[in-house]
Amino acid sequence: MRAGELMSTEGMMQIICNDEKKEIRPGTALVAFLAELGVKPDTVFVECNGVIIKRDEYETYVLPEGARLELIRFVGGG
Amino acid sequence: MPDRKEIEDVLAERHGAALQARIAEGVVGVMGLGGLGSAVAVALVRIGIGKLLLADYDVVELSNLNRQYYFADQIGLPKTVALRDTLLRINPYVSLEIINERLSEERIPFLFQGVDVLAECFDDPVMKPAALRAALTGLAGVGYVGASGMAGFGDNNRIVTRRIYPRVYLVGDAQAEVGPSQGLMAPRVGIAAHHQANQVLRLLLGVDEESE
Repeated sequence: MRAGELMSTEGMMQIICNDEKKEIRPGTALVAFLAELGVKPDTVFVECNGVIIKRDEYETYVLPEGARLELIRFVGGG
Repeated sequence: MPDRKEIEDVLAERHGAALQARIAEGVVGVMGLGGLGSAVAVALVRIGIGKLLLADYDVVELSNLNRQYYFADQIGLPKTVALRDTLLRINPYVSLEIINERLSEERIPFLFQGVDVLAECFDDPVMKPAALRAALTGLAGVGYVGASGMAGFGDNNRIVTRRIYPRVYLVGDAQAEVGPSQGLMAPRVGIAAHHQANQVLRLLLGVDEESE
């Protein structure tokens, strides 16, 4: 799929998060996207376009257009 | 007290000699020795696992006894020591290595180099993704069985085992978080722990199939 095909609302871009289309503003950092979802960054495993993102990169990692994001949220207890 | 050969013979008779030989070669790391890890370790020792690496930094507390494999006379002992004592009562010849430290993402690849399978049994939701990252980036090819979501007394059958990568699995309902409204209780934590133990066994025996 070409990136252009993912464009929708003016000024927004699309990514795929856990197989679901999401619209985000260009330049959105991973940590901001997680905050929008209400996910605590410390409790989620993130893979973007097949690459595991380290926890200390969440603040600076900017989601690329058309990104395929896989999030695995963890809850406490064991 | 039975000797080593008697125990090995009985296990081989029960499980089949070829299968038992593979279990007896298995080396498994257990990260966190709470309700999940203590039960996983007991199950694996009962089936004749070769070696366990048991990691925890905590001591046994009275509040642990509602779900963890410890006894009232072990309160105050490091969990590593208390669990080792219990496991040696099941099989006095099993090989056990204890790691009495608080694990971190950085230390996990170093401490568990060479294990066949790693069981993530942490209570702390921050350590769960950290351990998964550590295994996938620092222990390439290791079998991995993590857990998330087993609090309360919800439906048995919502505890499932999902394959997320080759040889990497997550057990639980992915939702039931421990908190003020629902605590961890022996029955459901035990279900999750035994999902984990069986998945560890499957990996040791070379089974790595997508769930149906």
